Amino acid sequence: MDNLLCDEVWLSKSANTFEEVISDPVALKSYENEEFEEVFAVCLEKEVLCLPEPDYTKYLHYNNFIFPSCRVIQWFIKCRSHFNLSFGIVFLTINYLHRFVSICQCNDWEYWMLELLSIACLSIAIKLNEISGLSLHEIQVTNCHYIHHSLFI
Amino acid sequence: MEMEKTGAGVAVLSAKEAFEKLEKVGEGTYGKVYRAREKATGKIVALKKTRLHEDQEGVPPTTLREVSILRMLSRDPHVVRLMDVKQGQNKEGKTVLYLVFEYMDTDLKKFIRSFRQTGQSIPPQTIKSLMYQLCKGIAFCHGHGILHRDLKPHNLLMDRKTMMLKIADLGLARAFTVPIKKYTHEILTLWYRAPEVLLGATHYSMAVDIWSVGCIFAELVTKQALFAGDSELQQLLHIFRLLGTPNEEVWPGVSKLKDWHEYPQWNPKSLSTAVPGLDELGLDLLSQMLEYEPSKRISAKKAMEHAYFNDLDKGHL
Repeated sequence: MDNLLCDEVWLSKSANTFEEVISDPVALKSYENEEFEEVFAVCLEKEVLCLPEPDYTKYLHYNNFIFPSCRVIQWFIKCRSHFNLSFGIVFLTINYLHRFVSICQCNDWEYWMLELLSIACLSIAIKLNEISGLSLHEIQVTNCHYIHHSLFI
Repeated sequence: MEMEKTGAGVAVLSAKEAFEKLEKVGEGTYGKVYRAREKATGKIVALKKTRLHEDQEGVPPTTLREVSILRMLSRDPHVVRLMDVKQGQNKEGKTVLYLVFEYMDTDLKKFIRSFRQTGQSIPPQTIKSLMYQLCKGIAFCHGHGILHRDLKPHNLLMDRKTMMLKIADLGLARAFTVPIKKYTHEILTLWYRAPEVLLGATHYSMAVDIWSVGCIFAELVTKQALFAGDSELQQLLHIFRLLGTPNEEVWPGVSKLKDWHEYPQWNPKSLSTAVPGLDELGLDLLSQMLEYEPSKRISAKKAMEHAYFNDLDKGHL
C-alpha cells in the first residue's frame, strides 16, 4: 500500500492535479471574482507540489527513459480513444507515472517494469476520476506483449 | 511490485503490529471502524478498515478517492485528520487496508439523540457554534473543489469536551468535474438529499451540500429530522409539503429534470412552523440554505458571513 503514496511528503501533496473549467454555467453563478482568484491560487499551488524531483530530465536521459516513456504515452492515448476516456485521464496517468519514477529513482529499470507501472497508473487514474472502472485485464488487452497477472500489478 | 528506492529502507510495521484494537465503534460506509491505541506512542486513533476486493483489482475507487481527498483537506481543523494508511491481513489471510484517523469521541447524531432523550433543547449558542464550524469546514472543501455529497449528522464527528466538529466520511466525495454515477447499490440517507438530486439532476454543484447543511441546521434546533422520507418519492413530498411544490416560476428548469412528474400542489408554509424556536436571523439563513434553485442557494462562505453568526465568538473556531 505504501507504493500508492510513493513516499511523497505526507499531507503536502495532492493526487488531484487535473483541473478542468466547470462547464455548468449555473455553478459559476455562486462564485465571485475574488473566489475565483483564491481557487486559482490553490490550483497553482497544487501544480507546483505535484512536479517531479529536480533534475528529473537529466535522470530520464541518463537512464534511456525518453523513448520507452513515449511508447507508454502513445499507449495511454490509444487507450483513451479505445475506452472513450477523458483527456484528463491521460494527463493524470502520465503525471502519476513520472512522479513515481521521480521518487523511486534507481538504475536498473527494465521495460517490463515500466509497462507494469503504466498499467497501475492508468488503473488508479480511472478509479479516481471515471464513473465506471475498467478491470486490469481489460486495460491490458489493447497493447501489452503479454498479460500480467492482476496480483503483480 | 518490488522497487529499489534511494536511501535506506524504513521498516514499516503492519497494522497488527502497530496498533492494539480496543473496541469496534461503528460501521462506516464501506467497513468497520475501531478505536485503537498506537503502540509506539500510546495515542488513541480510529482505524477504518477496508477489505480489498477478492478480484485482485486493487484498492477500491472510493478508498482511493477518500485517501487522496483527505490528504488534501486534512489541513483544515474542521475536516477529520487522516494520519496514516496501513496494510494488513485479516484472520483469513486476505489483505485489508486501514485508514488511521484522529479519534473523535462522538458524532452529531449521538449528540442530538442525547438531548432528545433528556428532553432538553440544545443551547442556542452551541447550535450556532456547531453550525459555524460546519459551514467553515464545507467552505474549505468547496474552496478546494471537493463536494462531500453525503453530509449527515453521523458523518460529523465531535469532541464532547471542546465542542469541536469535524467532517468525516469522504468516500463519496468528488472533485467538481468528476462525472457522477448513480450509486444504486448504496443506501444513501435520503433525509439530507437535495431536491435536484432526488429529481435526477446529473450536474451536481456545491449546493447539494448546502441543502444537507440546512437540514442538519433544522435538526439541531428541533432534534428531529426536517424531512424524514422513506423513499425518494416520499422524500420529495415531505419537502414539497413544507416549501411548496416547485414550479417553473420559483425554480426555472425544474419540470425538465429527468425524474420530474406531476405532484400534488402544495403552497409554501412558513419555516417557523417546522422549526419553532429558531430566531429570525436563523430562519433567514435556513431559508437561504433551502432555496429550491441550486444557483440561488447560499454558499458556505457566504453563510459564514450571515448576521446569524454575528454574536458568535469565532476566535477559537
